[in-house]
Amino acid sequence: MTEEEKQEVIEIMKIPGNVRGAILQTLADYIRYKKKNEGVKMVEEKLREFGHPLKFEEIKPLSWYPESTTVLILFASKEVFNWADDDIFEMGNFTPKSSFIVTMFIKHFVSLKKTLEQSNIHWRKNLDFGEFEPTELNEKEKYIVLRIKGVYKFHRLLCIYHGGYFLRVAQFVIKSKKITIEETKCMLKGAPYHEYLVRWE
Amino acid sequence: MEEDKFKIAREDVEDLEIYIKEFSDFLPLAVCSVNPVGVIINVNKATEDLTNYISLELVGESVSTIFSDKKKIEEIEKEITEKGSVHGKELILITKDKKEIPMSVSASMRKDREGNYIGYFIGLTNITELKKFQEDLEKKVKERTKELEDSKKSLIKMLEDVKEAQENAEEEKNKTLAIITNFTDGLLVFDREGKLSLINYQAELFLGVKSQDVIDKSISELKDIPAFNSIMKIFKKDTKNVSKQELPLENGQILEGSTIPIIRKGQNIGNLVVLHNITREKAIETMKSDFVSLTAHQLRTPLSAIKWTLKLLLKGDFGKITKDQKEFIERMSRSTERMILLIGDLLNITKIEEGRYIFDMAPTDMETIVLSAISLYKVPIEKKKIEFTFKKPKKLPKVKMDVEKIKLAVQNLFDNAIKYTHSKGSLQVELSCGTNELEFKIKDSGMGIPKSQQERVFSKFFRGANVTKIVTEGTGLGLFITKNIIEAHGGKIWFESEENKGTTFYFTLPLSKNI
Repeated sequence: MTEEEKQEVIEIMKIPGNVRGAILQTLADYIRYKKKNEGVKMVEEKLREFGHPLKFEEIKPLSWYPESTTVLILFASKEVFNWADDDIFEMGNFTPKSSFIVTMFIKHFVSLKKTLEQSNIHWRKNLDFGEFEPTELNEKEKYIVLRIKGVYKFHRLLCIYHGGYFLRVAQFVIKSKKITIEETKCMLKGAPYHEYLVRWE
Repeated sequence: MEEDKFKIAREDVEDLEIYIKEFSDFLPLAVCSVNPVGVIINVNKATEDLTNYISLELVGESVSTIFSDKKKIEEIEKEITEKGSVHGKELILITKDKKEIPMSVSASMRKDREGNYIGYFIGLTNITELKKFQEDLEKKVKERTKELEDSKKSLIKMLEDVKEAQENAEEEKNKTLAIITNFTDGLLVFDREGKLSLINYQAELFLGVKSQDVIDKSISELKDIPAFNSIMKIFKKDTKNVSKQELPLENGQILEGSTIPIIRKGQNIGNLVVLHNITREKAIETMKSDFVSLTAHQLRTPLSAIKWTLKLLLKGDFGKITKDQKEFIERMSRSTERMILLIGDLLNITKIEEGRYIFDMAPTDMETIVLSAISLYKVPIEKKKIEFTFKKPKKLPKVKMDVEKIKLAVQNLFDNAIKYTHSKGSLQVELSCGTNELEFKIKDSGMGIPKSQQERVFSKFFRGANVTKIVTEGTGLGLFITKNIIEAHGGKIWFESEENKGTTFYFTLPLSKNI
C-alpha cells in the first residue's frame, strides 16, 4: 500500500453513516461480472491490505455496514483494476440490477412519478443518513432534478457512483433510449447539497 | 428484546431471499419479471441459460429486445392488463449470439397490496423440438397430400383413359357388330359351355330362325331346330381345329360350314361357325364338270379313231410308207396317246370332284399291284439304266381297296419317279406293314422338288419349275389324282424331297380287321 493510498483510506474511514449489506453485495456482483471471482478475491485482498478486511460472502443483505466500506470497495476496485471514473459510474449504473432490495423496491417503479414519490423511502431503507429529494419533475420538458440533502460531504467516488445508480433507476421507469444524468451541484464543491439533473429524449 | 425480534425477522427475510434465489435458479422454466414500462427487472437462471445473457445484461433492458416481434410484445402486454394473463403465445427469442428460438410465452399480471398493476411475470418455453416436429409433420402432411393429389390426378387420368378405352371398345364393338350383322356369310358364336351367344342376320336367313329364339341355347337344345341339324355335323367332326363341311339345306341351298375355335391366352373360349353360301359355286362346278366330262367323252372317241388309224398306217395296212412318213406318223401317234391320257385324267378328276370315283372295294394283295407296276415300267427302267430295288416283308396282309384306282396311284408315282430320275440313277420301292396300316414307299435320286413349290405338289396342274424345261410331258394331274385316291381309301400320302438329290413319296392304306 502506497502512502497516498494509506492517506486516502484514513480519509475514507472518516465517512459517517451506514448502508445495508445488500448495497455492498451489488458491488461484489458487478466486480464478479467484470472480473470473475478472481477479481472479487483481488478486491478482498486489497481491503485486507488497507487494514479493513471484508469477506463479501459473509455480508448479510439486511444488516447495516459502514458507508465508508462502500467507498473503500470503490477505491480498492479502482486501485486494483486501474479503473477510471467511467468504470465507477458504470458500476453504479449496474448495481441496482442485482440488488435484492431494489428488486423489492421495484414494485414502486410503475411510473416515474410514483417512483420519485417512493424514492426517499427507498433511500431510508438502505442508508441511515441524508434525505433523498426529487425536487422537480417536468415530464413535458423531460427532466428531473434530484437532490441529496442534510448529509456530509460525499467522497467524490460516491458522487460518481450515485450518478450511475440514479441513472439506472431512471432507466427502469423512463421509456427512452437516451437518458442522461449530470451532477449539477456538489457539496465537495461548496454547494449546500448534491444535485443531479436527469434528462431524456 | 425488541432488537432480538428485529434480528430474527431480518434473518428470516435474508433466508427467504436465499430460498427464493435457489428456488428461482432451480426452476427449469425461464421466468422474467417485467415492470409496467416493459423493462426487465429480474430473471432466473433458466432465462440466462436460454438467452446466453447473464442477469446483469438483461435486467434494465426492454423485454422487447430479446424478441423479434416487438409489436407482438405490445399486444401481449395489452392483453395482460386487460385479462390478467396470456398463455401459449408464440414468439421468436433472439439470444445473445443472435440465434432465433421459437418460444411459447405465458405471462401473468403482478399487483401490489393495493391491487395496483406493478408489471408481470413472463414464462418462456422452448418449443424448438415441438416446432420441428410440427414442421416435419406439416412437411410430411404436405408430401403425403402431394402424393395423394398426384395419385388422384393419375387415377383421374387412368379413369379418363379407361373411359376413352371403353368408348373406343364400344365403338369397336359397334363396328364389329355392324360388320357381323352385315356380313354376307352367316356367323354363329358358341361360348365355352356350347351355348349360342351370337347369330348374325345372314345366319338367321340361312337357318330360318330369329336370334331371340336361339340365343343362349345349348347345342343339344338347338338340334331340335331342323336347320341346325346340319350344323351339328360340324361339331361332331372336330371342335379343336378348323373344320369344314358342306351343308345342304332343305331349300336347295348349299352352305359351306366352317368351325373355328376361338382361342384366348391358350384357352378355347368358344367356337365360331361361319356359313358360306356355296350354292352358286357348286352349280358352276357341276356345270364345269359336266362340260369337261362331255368334252372329254366327245374327244376320246375321235382320238381313239385317230389312234387306231395311225397304228394301221404304221403297220403298213394302207400301203408302204417312207421313213420320213413313218417318223411323222409316230410323232402324231405319241401326241394322240398323250391327249388320250390327258382326257383320261380329266375324266378321273371330274369323277373325283363329283365324289363318284371309288366304286369297287375288295381285299387285295398290295405286292401284286407293285409287281404289276414294276413289270409295266421295266423297259424304261432298263433303258435309263436305273438301279432298281424292291423290298418287302415275307408276308403282307391284304388291304381293302379299289384295285384299279390304287394301281393308277402306284403307276403315277412310278411314272414320276422314273421320268424325273436321270440315267444311271436309283429307284427304291418298299412295302412295310404296321399294326393298323400298310405303307408304300418309293424313293428316287431324281431332280427333287424345289422347297418353295413343295406346298403345291398335290394341286391340280402342278409341275415343278425345275422339270418343265427338261421333261415336257406330263399333265400335272397325276399327284392330284393319287392324293384323292389314297385319301378316299382313308389313307395318307406325303413326301420328302431335296432339289437335285431326289424325292421319296409315301402313302399308307388302313388295314381292315374285317377282311
